[in-house]
Amino acid sequence: MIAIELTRGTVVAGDVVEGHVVFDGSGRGDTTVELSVLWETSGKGDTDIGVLHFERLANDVGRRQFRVQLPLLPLSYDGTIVKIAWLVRVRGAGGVIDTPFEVVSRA
Amino acid sequence: MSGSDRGSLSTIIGGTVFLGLSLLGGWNEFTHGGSPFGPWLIFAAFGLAIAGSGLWKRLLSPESRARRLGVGPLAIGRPVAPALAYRAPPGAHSLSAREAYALALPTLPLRRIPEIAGRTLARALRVEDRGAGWFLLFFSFFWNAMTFAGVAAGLASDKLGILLFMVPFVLAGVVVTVLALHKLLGQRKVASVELSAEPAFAGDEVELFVSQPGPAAINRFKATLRCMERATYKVGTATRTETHTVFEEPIFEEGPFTVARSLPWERRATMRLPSRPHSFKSDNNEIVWTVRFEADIDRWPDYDESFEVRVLPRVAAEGT
Repeated sequence: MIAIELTRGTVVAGDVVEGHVVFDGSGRGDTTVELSVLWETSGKGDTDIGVLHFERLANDVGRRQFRVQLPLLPLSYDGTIVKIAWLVRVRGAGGVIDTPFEVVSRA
Repeated sequence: MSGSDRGSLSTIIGGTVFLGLSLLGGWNEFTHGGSPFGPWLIFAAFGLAIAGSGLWKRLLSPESRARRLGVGPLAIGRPVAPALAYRAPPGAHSLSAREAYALALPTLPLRRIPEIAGRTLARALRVEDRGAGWFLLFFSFFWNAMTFAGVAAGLASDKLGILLFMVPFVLAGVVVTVLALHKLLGQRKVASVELSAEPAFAGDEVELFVSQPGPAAINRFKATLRCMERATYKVGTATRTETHTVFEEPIFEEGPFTVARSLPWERRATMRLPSRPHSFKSDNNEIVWTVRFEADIDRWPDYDESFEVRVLPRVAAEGT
């Protein structure tokens, strides 16, 4: 089992998103997993992604910290046919775990 | 199996079949005394490239591909330039959006808009789809050349059936040509537009300057601030675009008035930009802010053109 823990669920654009990836030792089929911090569009259009941070992590028991400075754009957006979500994503052979967080304007 | 997985699998199979057939053709040619360097090599390379692209998609995650290709404006490998605004100094409220975002601007998922200085205000804007008229005209030339060949063949063979079959195609060509000329003639009269700031901060008041060239007798001239969501998606082999208006507010409406050849009609106005949403542009999704101008011109093709302005979230000063 792999879990993502975020320090804060709402982050100001330009600030740092931080948290931990927690490995409990089960699901040892993956020797490594991919950790990424990205924005992803959804809605009517085909999905676009912008990957801000990408790294491969060894699937060992324990907690791995991550700390990524966000850009000023895009902010999270929930429109009618265009939506923008920020995610911390862990991808392994077993599937994808997404933990969304909100990016808001400083002002 | 997801749609993406199915797509990559069919690309691998298609590419491999293409490669196999090309190799078979090459081998057949070689065994019959042909040169080993024939056109099959090009086909084989093409098949290999198709199969390779499928494998690339199949073996790597979208995030990993984005990292390698630099897909998406924020992909790793294209470092996000430090903006003044990450920790803007006290007094940042007096900075323009261009100054506050500074070097970060080209790294953000936004449209690239050339920086053109205005004559009256800070920035001159450009029409959003300047090439549409020329594209239509080029397409109409191509279309009409094809239909002309069809009509000529019908006349040469003296078969009425072929000529009747060509009628809708000829009519379509005429309609496209008229639309292209209408668009191009209308664009000859398009006003020049300037703003006090581009990009501009959301929530700010922005000054607008419009100069309508003459000669023209304008029945109605309307300016509107508009924000639209635009989404592009594929259905089979077709690509479709859908739009949704998020915000629309009239700035001013004038007319009728006459513009002399040597004396453009000029108008200043202010507009308050809403606090959200901000501008955004990725491959298939967009949030676009425009100032739209609709002109009803007497005895001349009307125009309806939009000028894009990027609206960015305000950045607060440090400690605020």
